[in-house]
Amino acid sequence: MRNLRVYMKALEESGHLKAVKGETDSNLEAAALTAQSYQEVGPALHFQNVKGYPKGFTLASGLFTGPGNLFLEKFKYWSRVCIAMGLDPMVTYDKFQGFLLERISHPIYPVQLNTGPAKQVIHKGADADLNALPFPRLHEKDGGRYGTLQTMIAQDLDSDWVVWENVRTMVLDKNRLVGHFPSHTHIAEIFAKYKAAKKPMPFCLSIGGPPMVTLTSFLPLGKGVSPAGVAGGLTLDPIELIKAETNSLFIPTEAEVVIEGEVSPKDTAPEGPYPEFWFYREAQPAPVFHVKAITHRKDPIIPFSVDGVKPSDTHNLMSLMISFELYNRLINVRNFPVKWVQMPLEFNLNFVIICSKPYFPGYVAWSSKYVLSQARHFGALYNKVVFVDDKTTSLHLEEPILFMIQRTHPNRGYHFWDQMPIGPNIRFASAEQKKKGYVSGLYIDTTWPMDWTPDDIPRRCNLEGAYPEEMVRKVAANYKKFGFKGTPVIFEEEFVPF
Amino acid sequence: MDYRDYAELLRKEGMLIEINEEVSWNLEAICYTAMNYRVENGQTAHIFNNVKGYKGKARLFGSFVASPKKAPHQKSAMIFGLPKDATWPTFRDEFLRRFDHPLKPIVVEAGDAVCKQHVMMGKDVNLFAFPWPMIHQSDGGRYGTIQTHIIEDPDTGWVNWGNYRMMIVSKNRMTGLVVGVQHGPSIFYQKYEARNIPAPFCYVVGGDPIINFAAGTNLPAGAAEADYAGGFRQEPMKLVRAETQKLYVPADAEIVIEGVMMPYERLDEGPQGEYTGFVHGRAPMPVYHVHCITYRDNPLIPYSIGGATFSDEQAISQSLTPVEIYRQLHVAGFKAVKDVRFLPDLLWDGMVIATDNPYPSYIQELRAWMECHKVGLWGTQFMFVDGDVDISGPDFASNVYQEMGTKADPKRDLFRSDNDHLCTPLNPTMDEKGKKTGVGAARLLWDCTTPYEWTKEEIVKPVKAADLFPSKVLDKAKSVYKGL
Amino acid sequence: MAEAYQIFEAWVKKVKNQIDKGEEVTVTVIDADTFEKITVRGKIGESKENLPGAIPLKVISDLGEKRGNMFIKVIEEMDELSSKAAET
Repeated sequence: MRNLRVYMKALEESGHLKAVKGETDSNLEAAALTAQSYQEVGPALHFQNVKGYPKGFTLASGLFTGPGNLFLEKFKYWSRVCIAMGLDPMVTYDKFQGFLLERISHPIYPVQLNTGPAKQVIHKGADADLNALPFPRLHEKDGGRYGTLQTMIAQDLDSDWVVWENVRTMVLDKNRLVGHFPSHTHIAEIFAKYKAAKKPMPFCLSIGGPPMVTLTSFLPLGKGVSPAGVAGGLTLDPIELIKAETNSLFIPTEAEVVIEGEVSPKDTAPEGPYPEFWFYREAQPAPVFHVKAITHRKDPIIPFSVDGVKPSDTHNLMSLMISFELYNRLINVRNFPVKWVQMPLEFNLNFVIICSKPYFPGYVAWSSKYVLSQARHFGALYNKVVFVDDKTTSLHLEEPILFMIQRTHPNRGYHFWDQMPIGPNIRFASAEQKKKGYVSGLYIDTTWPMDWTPDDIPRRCNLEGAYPEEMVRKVAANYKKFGFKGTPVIFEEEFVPF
Repeated sequence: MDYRDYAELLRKEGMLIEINEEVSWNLEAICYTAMNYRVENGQTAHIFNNVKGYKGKARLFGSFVASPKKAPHQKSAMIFGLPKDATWPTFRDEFLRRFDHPLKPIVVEAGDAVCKQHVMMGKDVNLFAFPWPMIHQSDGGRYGTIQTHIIEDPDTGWVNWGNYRMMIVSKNRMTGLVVGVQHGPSIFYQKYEARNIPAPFCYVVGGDPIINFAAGTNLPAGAAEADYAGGFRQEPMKLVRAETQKLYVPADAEIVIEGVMMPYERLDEGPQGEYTGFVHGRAPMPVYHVHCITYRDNPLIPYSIGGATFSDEQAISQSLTPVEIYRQLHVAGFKAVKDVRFLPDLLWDGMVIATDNPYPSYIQELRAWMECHKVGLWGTQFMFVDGDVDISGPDFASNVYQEMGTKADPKRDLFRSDNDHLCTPLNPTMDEKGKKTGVGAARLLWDCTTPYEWTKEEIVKPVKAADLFPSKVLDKAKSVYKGL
Repeated sequence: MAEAYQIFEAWVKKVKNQIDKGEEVTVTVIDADTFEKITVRGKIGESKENLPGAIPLKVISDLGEKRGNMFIKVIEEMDELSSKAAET
């Protein structure tokens, strides 16, 4: 998809987006309506009439979110991202991860253009005014208005390496933002170099643009990997780039809004409070971003996410992209051919579920420990791993939960790990643990014991295990005709021949 | 209220359909029910009027109490005469209130008992006159699942009503899962078989659906379920004397099966797919000799599918067991307990207790009480969450999973017992030795509560939408959303 | 008489010697259509060849899984279901 508009049209055509035509205040109202839609498993929203801003300056939310996996809904939490990728929104999760792997393994490098919609309006220096854009106020107690689903572009001080990563920023005033660099990200590492060298870090914040750019900004790429190439590979087309007005960085031509400037190596300001992970984080000093220029389309659409409410766009993207990268590393770095990896929002991103056939004795321990060992690279968001075998559906969290609780003997299947890094999303770290700098970890082996013979292993007696496959399909076909409500769902992976 | 009255109630609320297409009792009808269980908010109660070979003779009643995971108590509340949108606290409190006022049943004349419309005696007894379903393809036979087993203690006269699965063996033989730890089976083993005398029994399908809640309740030994059924219904159960045994059965039952359990006889029972989600294997079990069957015209036979989610048996157990535990905890002095639920993705596992933390050893004392409770037989794990975590509303399960993700340090907050726990043979984690001895299970607690010694600075409260927006803004958002 | 029967592996094992010798056995079988259990006297074999008029006898495991087919020629259906025949 070329840009945000093409994507939003595709969402609308498949019933995933609704226009909000009535006047909406960007101060809390847009966010509250978004929160309502999140909770009702509702559509993405395009706020076409934003109070107090010029006609054509609009907001959009819910573009990248989905209903979680605890209740069967009409679509899955990866469905909208599939639409953005041009895939069938109901493709199974393992196929979805397979598509991601295929595309990310074949980067398509960007092309440079001289013009682009992102340059339709250019404001430089004193003309650049952050207050002219409807950045929403997302929650009552927030420290200011926020930019959320945006891609920060910056270059390493000593090399050509450019990163595109999601960074949230709070508006301080007309020409200053303050931004939070999560500690595990490349951008934090890159900025640290500038800071040590006492040099300002040139940046561009790209808002909107090709949806795969947004996806890429949530993907923990390896050092030195070209995010533009990855975004191109995901889009199946090169990303078109154009040079920024006030620095030598390149921005997507199809962006909605681009903010250019420098991150100060010494100026800080309080960023927050903000409910990043479903609890309020107090205001903390963060680097100040001095804005040098703002360019945008004539009628810019600013996409946003309402964190603090589940399931938000930000966290849904984190779930999809981090679990993908774990899947990628398990397969390509460690040669563990896992079937899928999920990081359910229901557990606040703290659990990683690995689905794989246990190929050899000890496979479960190795693959689980590998995931635990990688936690720091993913923001230390998780410290618990659940391993389920390949006869587990990815469509409903109830199956992994059943296996984790009903099928696993506590003293046989639960394995504890002494020290894991402390993540920003947990509430169980005591003052002492914070001082020490670690909490503990866990991996749960839900598979049947390796010394059990097929005679010992009982059949799963759900729909797929208790009835012949042809009967299940016949019943699904007749289901509505008989007068039943709802849509039949079949967990294909769980059929066991009888 | 009998099952027919209850079906009418469901029909009036648009929650019941009738299916006249021919379906087989051998898996096919049940497959529709299994599919229906899974569809969220679509647990449509359904009556199969045309069961192959039984049209006009008997009917199957599926999803009679199965409910959405966000409101597992929905149909249970309706059986109790509450509205279909009754909240969990409303149902719980009403259950507790009625629990304190049992009503002794009254006996009616056989002439007034509709369960006597038809009688099969002796050589005419034929269990296969009814469409007992084949519930799972690997089951060892056809099963009765939603029914009431009646047996009397010969010494005290105490009559136990319980729900134990029953496999149809032949025209006049049944066998069932008779696990010694449960009351009815213990009466048989200790008071009859030990003395080598046959035990009169009745096995009842139908009657008042509220009986399921009395029969499933953990009453102390000696308490008569019939009294509690009357208390729940707020009027005495009307019972009638069985034809061939000195036992009393609900007068409006659909089918009454009478006979004796013979001492020291065994037949192989099972395998059957069970509530654990897995098949439980074949094992020798006591034998029921059937002497008489009485039944109504075109009986309505409810059933449940063990192991499929969200099943009728889940709905019953998840409605009543948490309430019982809540009550027992308060009686035992754990008054800081705010509510008790089960995770709806499991059946009797994943019990959740929301509790305050009033003194340093409280959590471990509560843990000890829970770990020695009978409810642990059917599950392994339980969770404690803070008293202010909402486990009473429709998002209760999500709130618990959030706590498990963010409020449990594995080494500090997960407590495992030794492998010295009794467990039923149905526990899928048990190996051969464990299955034979019945010991070897363990318990696991996820303590997601705030440690007693934490200071205010250490405590982090999660936010909900109500914490993020002023209520005026939220209200406007709700109404704008409706209009979209 | 049924068109096919089922029998548990364990029950077949108990009379394996007699089956191997081609002798008559008394076993409990399950009617594959009605799932009624009856005790029968008959001859069991791996194939129909030496058992004219034999019908399929599906063998199942303790967990209800399929364990292959044998054949049974039923000589007599017994009146009383023998709990001893089924006893393990």
